[in-house]
Amino acid sequence: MGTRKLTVPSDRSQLERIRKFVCEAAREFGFSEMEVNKIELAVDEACSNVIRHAYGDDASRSFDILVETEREEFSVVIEDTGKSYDILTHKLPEMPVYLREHRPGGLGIKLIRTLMDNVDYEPLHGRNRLTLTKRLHPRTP
Amino acid sequence: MATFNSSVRKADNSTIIEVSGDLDAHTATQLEKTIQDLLDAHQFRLIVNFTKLNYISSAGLGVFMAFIDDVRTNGGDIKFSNMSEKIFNVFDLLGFPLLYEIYKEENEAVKKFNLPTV
Repeated sequence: MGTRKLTVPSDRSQLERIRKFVCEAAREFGFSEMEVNKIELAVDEACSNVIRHAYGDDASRSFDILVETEREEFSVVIEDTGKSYDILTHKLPEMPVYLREHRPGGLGIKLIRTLMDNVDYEPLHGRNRLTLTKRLHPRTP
Repeated sequence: MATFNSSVRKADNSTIIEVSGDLDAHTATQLEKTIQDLLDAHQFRLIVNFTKLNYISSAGLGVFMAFIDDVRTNGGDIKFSNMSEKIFNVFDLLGFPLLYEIYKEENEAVKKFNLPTV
């Protein structure tokens, strides 16, 4: 099991740095480029939500991104102390309706839950902990 | 600083927006401004050429969603061309090919705009 950690200010300009950090770790873990792209997008969407919604674009705040690996599992844990929001209970948009209505925004959570194998959220002692997990090889049914 | 750039040029009846770099929640505002300026100048036949785009998130897709009604109401459209597989996959995942015309090559989109409107 290994862990690496990145702490960044809650500023949208940090998203590129976060993506690089996570992509490097995912590649080293052995994911194909297509899987790396999925992890990159899911983590970017989750961190954008933290910056925009949990912290309201307040760059004086900061949050942590941890990469934890164990056997086949690659997890990215995002911890912030902002406004909590349980993405597991978020109602996902029905895409045909969504597209018909031409609504901008609100697609991030849909992407996160589509791209990752498992998504877990727990508010703990004033911290929000979102865990996005992907397995190196999909579980055989 | 995230690397994103857009440049605008004309091709027949169309306005081409060439995007490059990373289009995320940080840089999407730059593209928003570029498109808003084009609409202010009554340019409604827009083609976004993705040849040099390395990355797109939902914030980038949101920009196109925000303008599409306005553009189509004015008799125009936003068409896409030259997407890499990586970029196309993000559009496809959210069902955007149902709503937007996506062309392999920019000149196919230009030709479509050159056709007389019915």
